[in-house]
Amino acid sequence: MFATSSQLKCWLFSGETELAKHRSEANKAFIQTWRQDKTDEEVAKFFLTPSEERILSRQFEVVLRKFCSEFQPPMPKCVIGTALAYFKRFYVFNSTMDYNPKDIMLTCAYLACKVEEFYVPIGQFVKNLRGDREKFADAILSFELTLMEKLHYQLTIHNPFRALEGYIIDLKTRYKEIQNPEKLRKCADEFLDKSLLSDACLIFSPSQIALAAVKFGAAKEGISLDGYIRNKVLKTATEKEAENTLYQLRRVKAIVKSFEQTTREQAQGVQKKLDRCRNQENNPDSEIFKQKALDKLNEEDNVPAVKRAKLSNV
Amino acid sequence: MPKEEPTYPFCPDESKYEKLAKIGQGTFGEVFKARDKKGKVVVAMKKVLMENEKEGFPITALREIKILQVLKNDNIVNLLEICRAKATPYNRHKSTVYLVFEFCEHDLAGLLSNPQVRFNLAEIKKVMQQLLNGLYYIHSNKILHRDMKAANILITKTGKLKLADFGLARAFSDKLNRYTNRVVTLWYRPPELLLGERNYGPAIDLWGAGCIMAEMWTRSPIMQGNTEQHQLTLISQLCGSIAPDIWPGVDKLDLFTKIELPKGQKRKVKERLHNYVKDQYALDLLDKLLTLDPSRRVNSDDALNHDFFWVEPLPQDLNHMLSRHNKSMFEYLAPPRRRAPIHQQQGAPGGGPSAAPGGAGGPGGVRPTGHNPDQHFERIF
Repeated sequence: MFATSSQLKCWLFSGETELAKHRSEANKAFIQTWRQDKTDEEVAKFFLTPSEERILSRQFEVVLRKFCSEFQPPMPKCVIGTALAYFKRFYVFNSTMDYNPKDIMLTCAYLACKVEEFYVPIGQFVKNLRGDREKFADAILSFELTLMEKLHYQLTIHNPFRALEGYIIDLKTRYKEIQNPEKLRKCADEFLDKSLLSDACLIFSPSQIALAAVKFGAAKEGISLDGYIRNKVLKTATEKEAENTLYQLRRVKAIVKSFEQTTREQAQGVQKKLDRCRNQENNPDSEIFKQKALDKLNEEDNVPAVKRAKLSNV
Repeated sequence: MPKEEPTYPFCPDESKYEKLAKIGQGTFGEVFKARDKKGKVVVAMKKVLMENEKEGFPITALREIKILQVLKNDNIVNLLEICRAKATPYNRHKSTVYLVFEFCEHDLAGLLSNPQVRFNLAEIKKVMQQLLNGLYYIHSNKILHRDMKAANILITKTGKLKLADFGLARAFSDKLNRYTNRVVTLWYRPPELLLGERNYGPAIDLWGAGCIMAEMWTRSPIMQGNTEQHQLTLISQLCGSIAPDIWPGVDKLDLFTKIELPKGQKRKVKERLHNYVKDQYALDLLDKLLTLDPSRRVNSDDALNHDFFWVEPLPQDLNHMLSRHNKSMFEYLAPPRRRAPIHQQQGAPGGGPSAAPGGAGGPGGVRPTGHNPDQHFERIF
């Protein structure tokens, strides 16, 4: 139930301002750890700024959604919604310089498949990627626990898709003024799809996002749902509560609409900068990461020998 | 940091706890009794085995975490937090995850294997009432437990019962489903699963509840099959032959024609259990729980409304009885239960702790300590 969920308790923020504050703190914390004796000027040149980090993470949200929507076998919507929600939650408190969004993005999708009971074995999962698939698989699995930890093991995501179904059923049964509520579905779906690229899921409850989707979906069809919202959905609400809900719906719309596609040039510039300033300990291609993995492998090689030794003692 | 303190405060380091003793071993990993170094709170820590997991974090453990974060009830074990042991050279760079639970002093298998622990009728009622209440709660939340057995029923020293081990649990829907039927420890596995049903529901847990209820008197699992075939034979001998006349549609199940089912067996649930269970209401409820046809098996709501719980003697708290025992009793730590299952002691007088030595029944006669080798798990679906 959403009302008792960790989503409501821990993962809804007051708005873009609060989110920006957390993200910039994560940015600052990373720089503080890695700046050594760099001057402020050098820092600005070397590290990503909070706004550059946003360009990067937004860029990868687009990539992640595209990856999910082209995924084979086709991913149910809730898997896509959950994957994006994980990705967004992760970068509220972590810097893209610490964990590369490219790795985290795939791990989010893989974990979302498991959690939403759309299980795809890792071998099949990476078939959706071009390039060194084994390397992708290793990267995904090596970041899985970190991702879970950074999400505070709060893995249940309440997506707006079910809420949308609920509103459509409700319209059919309680609001005869609209002849065929099914015709709102297409626009409402598009709205929800678009909302995946915004911070909406970090600010609003799924039912608010879904109601905004129905309302603005209807508006596009030239239908007003104000009567339905006022007299049915908010029938028992006080005047103040009703005003607030309508205000929130306008906010949802504004945030979903505010999405701007970052240009390829912008993203490439940031990427280049990132290649130098990222945390190499979390870079699967770095020497230090490889060394750690190698140590682990060597240690593992020793295990069967130890076990055998024990057995022969018996 | 999130706005408010989250329910599962950031996965602290496992070194926050000191391990006191190992209290369980399952396919999924070890369970330890441990103490919080600061608060001195005693907890149970269940280690998530990550070795041999080519698919990363096991989906079954993910389900357990997800499910237990939602289920909050007096009769469900309480998940306190999750903690991670950081990868270091000491643990071969393997990072391990622990689920941290409130500590319960006993499990039902441990209690039943100790002849000093005696339940009177009113106390048995309390155990069953709490067990069914837990099932009612999880089933109304659309969760199947899928591993009912006495060792997974925890009891605190004050007599509160908690359903535990949601390592095989999953959400279910009322639509047509295809779940794995390779769940539930063999001795507690209902006939529909043994016959290959994949579209099953809450009734599977109630069969297990029936087996456990009988065990409250017999003190050892009532049907200890060695193979699936053997288990079905034992079920038929107790509950009567499995056939479409008493279970419409059973002939449509995958294995119905492929497996040999004893014919002409009469249903003897009440008759056979009468040696142990004298209470008519108890026998009637057992009969309803051990119903072959899952669609006619009693559900947890109706079971809770059964007269068994509402006639004298009424359910009675266990805290008084348990206060006489100050040692923890877990199946893992208990000596094997030296009592043959009922199918091996036909004609033997019921009652008395000295009845039928275990060895007589062959391999099925003694309950193995630790984990049951007959456990069947499916790691993926």
